Amino acid sequence: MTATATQRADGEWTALSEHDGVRVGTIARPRRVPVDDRPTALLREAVDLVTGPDDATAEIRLEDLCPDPLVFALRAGLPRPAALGQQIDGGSEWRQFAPIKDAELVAVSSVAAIEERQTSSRRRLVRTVYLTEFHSALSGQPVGQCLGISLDHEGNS
Amino acid sequence: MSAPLTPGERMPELGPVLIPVGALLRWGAGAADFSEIHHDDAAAQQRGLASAVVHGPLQVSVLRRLAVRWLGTRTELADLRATFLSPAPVAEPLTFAGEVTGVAEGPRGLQALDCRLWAELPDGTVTVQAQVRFHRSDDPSGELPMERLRRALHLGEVAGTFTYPVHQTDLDSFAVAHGRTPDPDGRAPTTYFGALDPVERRDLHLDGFLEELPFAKTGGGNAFNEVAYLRPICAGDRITVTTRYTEVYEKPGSRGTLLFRVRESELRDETGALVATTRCGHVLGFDLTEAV
Repeated sequence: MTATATQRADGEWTALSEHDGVRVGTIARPRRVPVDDRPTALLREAVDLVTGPDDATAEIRLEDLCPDPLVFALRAGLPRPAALGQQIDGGSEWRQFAPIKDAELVAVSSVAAIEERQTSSRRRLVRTVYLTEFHSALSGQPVGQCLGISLDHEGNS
Repeated sequence: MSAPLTPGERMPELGPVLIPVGALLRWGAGAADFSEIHHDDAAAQQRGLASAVVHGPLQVSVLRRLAVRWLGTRTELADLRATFLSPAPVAEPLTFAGEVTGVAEGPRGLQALDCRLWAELPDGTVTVQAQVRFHRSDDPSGELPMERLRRALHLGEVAGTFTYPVHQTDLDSFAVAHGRTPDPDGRAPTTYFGALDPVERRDLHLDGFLEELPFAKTGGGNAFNEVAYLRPICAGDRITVTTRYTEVYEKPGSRGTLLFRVRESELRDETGALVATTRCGHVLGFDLTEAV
């Protein structure tokens, strides 16, 4: 069940407060995220296999700790709407404010927005935007934030 | 020094390449993404996909790696927004490409480079598109980044305007801190002009990147403070301070290379009348022979 305003016909996104029982503003419990080399090494090896290895030793960035913001938010316990025919990943954003120098960060994930529009084939498309904010576990200073987007849309019928 | 880039300039393409199974497995393990849609065609088909698909974030990471390799090590990623536009079947090769879409002045005197990066299938279908902003430095190696510092400080231009109310309690605290008795008529001592310096108050902080330069610091502090005032500052004043950086220069010292930044401020009251002008210099010492 979707709580919705009137759907616009022009393809623009319309904000919803809820979709399939998932509500905007739902917050997951804060999680401690170790700045761990092992998953990062696996991710870099994966990229190495496509691009060839890099000589430079890159610093650990938010993209390394949170390579898939949607998966990260879902693993924090946030629900994913699945009311329509197909659920796919819609995109990701990363914005880092400061270098990652601590051994541990604190991450808080939330449902930041739910929006709906009609596709060109006149099918419903709902996107849920998951925001994860990262802070230094020592100082509390913000380190960065990520967005992961889940799409729930009507499939072919 | 990094070569200048202009809008439209293209990143060397990679591909078409098949994403190796080993890459998919490592990515899944590193990202804790164990979804079967990335290695099992039947599971992908149950989710409405034609076949198993490459992780979108893996494609983004490949694009990021290629862009940093292209732009050089003096490039830092500031912002990355990726949109997953179409599934990328594991069995189809991908081509990774990119181009500069804009060049602008960035923070801390850095160059801001906007790029569009994308991955596409052999038929031209774009699977992932990313808008990325990089910050790029043209700092010369082994030298202080004088040009970048001049850009960051906007020499001669207004660097900032700040208004500070002057309360009697401020003057009392200032007097106590200096071991003096507050003026009974509410006049601030001459040294109080320095207390209204936006740089010393950390309201204006344009050269913080100097702390991160890769050279050993040998010292630093105020080089000089000059004040020319037309009247004293008094309790009840609201003083608006307009600051401009006017000079940046370096000279050799006994403790390495000394970097001076000179700023001038106008202090005006609520009527707009000039109360004072100040000229202050700050110095930082660096040992350019010792990298940190």
